[in-house]
Parts: sequence; structure tokens; C-alpha cells
Amino acid sequence: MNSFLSSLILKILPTQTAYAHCDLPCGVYDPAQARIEAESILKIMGKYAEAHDEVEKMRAIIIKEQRAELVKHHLWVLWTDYFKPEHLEKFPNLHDLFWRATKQAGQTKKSTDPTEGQKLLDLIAEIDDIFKQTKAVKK
Amino acid sequence: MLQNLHNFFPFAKYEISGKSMYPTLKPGSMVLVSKIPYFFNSPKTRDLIAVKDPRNGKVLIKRISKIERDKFFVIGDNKNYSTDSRTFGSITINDIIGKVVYESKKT
Repeated sequence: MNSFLSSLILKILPTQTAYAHCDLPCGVYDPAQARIEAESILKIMGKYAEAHDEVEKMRAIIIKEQRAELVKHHLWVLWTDYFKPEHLEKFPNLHDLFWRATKQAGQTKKSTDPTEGQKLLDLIAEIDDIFKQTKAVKK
Repeated sequence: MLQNLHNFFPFAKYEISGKSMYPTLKPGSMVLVSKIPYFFNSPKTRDLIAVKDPRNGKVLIKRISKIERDKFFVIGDNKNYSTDSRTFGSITINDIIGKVVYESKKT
């Protein structure tokens, strides 16, 4: 394109921003991060039931809340950064599975019932199964 | 209304923010993007294009690395510092805003 004309158009037009950014895709993903936090939640639920000290019970609730938030974070990273449209084509239940798992992480905040913690672990295991299948395809 | 007139103009001017297209485009460079080249020809590999990030609609500048059927795999020239199709997957023709037709390089 004619450089004089281009320069002229550049002068006339308003400037918008085009991003050439990196959110540093280190490429290391593993549902194990979410699973470890979920295992903590389940253990904490057990400790809460056994505890007699009010302070210890309170600590258990606070730590369980933090772990549940970490589960959500790790699942969101997998969901939004690792999984791609082609995975969704192969595993159409992927969005629903992540939605249910992150909702269940929220449920473990509200509850001290270990069955809620186990439900979360089961959902993460389903995600892990799909994750491993996508890794197997890559090799 | 005047502010939106440029949306109907076949050219758009973008200032580059970030390093993912370095050394082709440095941060602060200006580019002119046009839809016109794709009225006559389909996008080709190696084309430098402005695309909408399918995750949030932000405008990105990337290069077409691979075309498979109607899917375009785009990548930054500075691969170690680029978030592109390796992260958000291939894009469609609807995500392509236009081709970079002119670069006003920052020195």
C-alpha cells in the first residue's frame, strides 16, 4: 500500500489499542492441584467433626474456606487455559462438568458434611480422566 | 455518532501494546488494519492480522501460522511471550478484524 496514503490515513484515524500481550502460558497444567486441595477439604471436614475446641472448629472452617477457593482457582485455570474448543468437541460434557465441580467447591464452603467433600473429589476425578485422555491424544 | 464513524471505515489504526509480536512490531508501533484485502482473497498463512480474542473480545495482533478448513491457528512472532491459539485455540473468519497493511515502525 502506498506509504504516503497510509501515513495520511494513520494521521486521520483515531488510535485504538491492539494487544500483543502474553499471560505467560507456562504449559504446566494438572488437575492434581485441585485434587490435593479437595483432599484437604475432606480431611478438614473430618477434623471439624472430631474437634471439641471452638477455636479449632473455627480454624477448620476458615482453612476449609481457603482450600475451596483454591480448588475453584485451579479448576478455572484448567477450564479457561488448558482446555480448548477441540476438547469440547470430543467431550461435550466438559463445560457442564466444570460448572458442577466449581459449584460443588462452593457447596463445600457451606457444609461440613464429608459427603459434600467426596462429591467434589469425584467430580475432580472425572475432570482428571478427561485431562488424561487429552494428554494421551497429544503423545 | 461521529465517534462511531470509524467503525464503518475500511481501515482501523492500532497502537501495539506488548511484546508478543517483537521484533516485527515493537510496543508503541502503529499499524493500519484493513478488511479490504479479504474482500478479494482469503487469509493466508504468514498474514499479519488483527483478531478478536475469543475469550474477551480484546483486539490482538497475531500471525496466521496454520489454516485447517475454516479454522485459523494464530501465533505471536515472539513465541515465548505470546498468548495465542496455543492458549485459546483456533479462531474463525468471524474473529478476524483485518490484515495489517501498513506498519509505522517505532525505532
